[in-house]
Amino acid sequence: MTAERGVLQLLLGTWRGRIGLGVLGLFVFLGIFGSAIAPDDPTASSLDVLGGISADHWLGTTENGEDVFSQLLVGARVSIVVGFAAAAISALLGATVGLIGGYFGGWTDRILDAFENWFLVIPTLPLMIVLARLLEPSLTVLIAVIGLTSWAGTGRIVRAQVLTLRERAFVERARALGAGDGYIIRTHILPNTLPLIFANTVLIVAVAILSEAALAFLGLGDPTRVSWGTMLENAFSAGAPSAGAWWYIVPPGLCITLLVLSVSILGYLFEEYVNPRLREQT
Amino acid sequence: MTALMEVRDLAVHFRAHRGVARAVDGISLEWQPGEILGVVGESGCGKSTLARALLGLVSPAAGTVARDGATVDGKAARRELRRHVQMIFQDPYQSLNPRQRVATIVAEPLRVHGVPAGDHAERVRRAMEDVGLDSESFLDRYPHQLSGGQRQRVAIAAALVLEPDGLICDEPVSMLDVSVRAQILKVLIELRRQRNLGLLFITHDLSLAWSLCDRLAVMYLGRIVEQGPAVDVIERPQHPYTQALVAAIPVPSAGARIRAPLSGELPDAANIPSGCRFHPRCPRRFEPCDSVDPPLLATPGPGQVAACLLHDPALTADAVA
Amino acid sequence: MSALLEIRDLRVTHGDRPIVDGVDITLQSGEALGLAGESGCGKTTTALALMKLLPASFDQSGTITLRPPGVEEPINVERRTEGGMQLVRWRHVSLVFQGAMNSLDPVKRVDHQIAEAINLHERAGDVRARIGELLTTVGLIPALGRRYPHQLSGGQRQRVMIALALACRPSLVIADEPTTALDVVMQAQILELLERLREQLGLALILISHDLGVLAETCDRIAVMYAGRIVETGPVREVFDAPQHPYTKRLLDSLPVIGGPRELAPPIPGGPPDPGELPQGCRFMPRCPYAAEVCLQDPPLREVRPAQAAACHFAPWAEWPPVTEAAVEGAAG
Repeated sequence: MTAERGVLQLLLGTWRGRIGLGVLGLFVFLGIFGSAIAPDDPTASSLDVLGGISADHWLGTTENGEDVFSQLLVGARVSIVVGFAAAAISALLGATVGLIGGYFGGWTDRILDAFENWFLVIPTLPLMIVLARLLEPSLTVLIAVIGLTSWAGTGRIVRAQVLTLRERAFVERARALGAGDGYIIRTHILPNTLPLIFANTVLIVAVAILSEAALAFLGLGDPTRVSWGTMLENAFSAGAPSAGAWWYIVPPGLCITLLVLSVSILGYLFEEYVNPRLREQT
Repeated sequence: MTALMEVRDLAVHFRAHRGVARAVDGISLEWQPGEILGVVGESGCGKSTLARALLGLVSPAAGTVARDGATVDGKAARRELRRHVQMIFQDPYQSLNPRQRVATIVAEPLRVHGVPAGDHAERVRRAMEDVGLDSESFLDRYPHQLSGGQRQRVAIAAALVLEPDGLICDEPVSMLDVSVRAQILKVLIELRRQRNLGLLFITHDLSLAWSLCDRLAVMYLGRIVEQGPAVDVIERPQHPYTQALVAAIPVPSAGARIRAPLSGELPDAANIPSGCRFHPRCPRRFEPCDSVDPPLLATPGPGQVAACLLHDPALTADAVA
Repeated sequence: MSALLEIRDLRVTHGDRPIVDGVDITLQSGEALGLAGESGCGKTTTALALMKLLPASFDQSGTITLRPPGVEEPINVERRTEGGMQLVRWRHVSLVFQGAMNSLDPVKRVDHQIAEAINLHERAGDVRARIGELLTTVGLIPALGRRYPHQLSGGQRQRVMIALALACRPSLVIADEPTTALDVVMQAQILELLERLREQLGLALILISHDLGVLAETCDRIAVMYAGRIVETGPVREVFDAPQHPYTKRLLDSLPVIGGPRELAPPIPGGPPDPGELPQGCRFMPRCPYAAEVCLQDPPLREVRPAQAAACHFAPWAEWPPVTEAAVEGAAG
């Protein structure tokens, strides 16, 4: 069985894989085309304040009379963009630190490892809040803050994998035939850690989406953009729960949950693929 | 004749739990072109470390390594050395990258040493032919689609593709089945015969060393304790340690009976005994053995030397008197 | 006297792949049987089947009868449930499996682990005294019991594993490649220990090894397996002096014997067949330099010399025609 077929089989051959892929696909589609297919301008206010479900407003309206359904469609983009971009930064940082520390060992590793431990033990959410407060809130800041605070776990996992790979005979063989460090990392270490990095990154996408929602909910999101997190924040500050305006709260909450769930399912599937021991248990 | 490789007073030290482990502790050895040189000893005796030090995979604490008469010093010289002397490893299941196809694995040395890409296919094909995997179908396979013997052949092909002068073989057949083992050995012997490839054969299998090697060095705790023509060293061992090793070989013939020739185990390389390092386990030790560290001394066997005070004429004369 | 162990027509399949395919073994009390063969020939599977330790994905059939001394009724292993087998394992048959010395629990002291094995199976009076006695039996000083596995050498750990196997005074010990990871000197020490235990405790032994030299020095009888079947069996002396199956002959020839010819014999070409794609007739035929038309029919294992049986149409072999490289190449093609 070749590696490629194994992944495809896990994704398309199991119900978990199909559901995860389907839901994620839907949200990615919305992230790209959401604003084009939204029936209304999501920031166009009207006099219909906190209005319920109607033919005009499929999911009711906000405290400013904006269309919730349109906001929901447009808000997908922020979640998707922040989720993937922050995870990409996190993967890049984590993989680099893990690879360099694990491969070269010695003092390099000790310093990087201490750095990593520091990021692992500090409470991430408060750090994010502090960083986001200090900086001007924008999408870029959000991505950077989430990316910078979530790489340590990846770094740790990659380092552990590299430490075992470094001792494998094929790495020694490559050294024996005269290959340099750069070559060995590129052709032997990286390809053998890539699936692991990938599986871990998919799980970080879920964490990043949740973090964005949390920061936005605390009022630290990008104020110029609609996201599911800012929707929830606005809903709560407008008193939507006490007004009984469930249509304003449930849809963004549900979307966040579904997106995180689909990404997590895929992440766990990849993890099973990378770690055959998990595969046997299921 | 210039030696293919030569080490002088080589020492390799590792940091260990308790102090410094002297894995290789002063070894001088010559490996001639086209020669099958065997290095035998128990695990932990330093034979694998010696092999790695030859290729500069571990850095020596003292001593020199030379190839073709020139001391290997610096990065460029090491790179050149690794072009001319290749190595194959014990575990065929570990020594190939599981994510690379056979064609990529075998061509790797060519890429590393900047051989023009146009020559790769032809040279890979020739190397595969040399190891008896001539079918094209092998090139597209992954290591897990091969048997243990086939993997070891692929490893040998990758080592041959640069047409080296020497091949260091670290226990190349000890994990293979008897019938596969014979096939791999045949490949290696053929290579030596056809292109005068020198083999440095590291093994704990003395019967194999006896049948295969021209010359043999027996290692104990980081030192060579006996050295000479392979047949003589095994059939007429001159060092008590070699004698013990030979006595412990299980013989595949009827009526053979086990006798464990030595009690105890190999001491810690971080805590090497004083005097002759073998004296605490030696059945023939005598008075000076715990204080005098014996050099390699001439023995009755031609070309055969042993690091044992029994061969010091002055001392043994005393002992007899 | 009836045999300690009788295995009749043991078959193990994994899916539709026959791994062990009709094996008969008889073992007397105190006897040492060597099970030889290359990896994948079914020797470890046979051992595990005999203790009913195979994973659920394997199916086994055939009868396995144990008659431990002092037990009235013979034990029919094949009819025992898992619960019933737990009473048999370790008390009557124990196993030192491959790589065993790395299977000790790293966080428990050695004596603790031996005590566990004892308490699991019997209410021993003085467990501490028994542990000391066991350690002494395998040639370790009792004080070593207070150590953790990583504080012991490979050879010492292997001795502990043997002590574990002896914990409940079994009448049969199966040792699967007990010396494979060890050096010659340590190997000789362990083999000597097994030999001594047989004499002292009247232990029967099944020794599984790919190393014919090890078996020659330790066993009374030997059974050579190939592709799930026993192809030759007999007293060690006879089998080694006058092998009657080409596979045994070629295996012996491929081992260099010090003092004999230094030149390596032509190797056996190819590899053993995949259990899913067994050749028709004699399973060794595709690799056999002596193969002929008749070999397309399955040769039965039959007595060809006194006490010695071989599964070859041409046995008994009066003499072995020399094998040339050409014949080998022919068989390979």
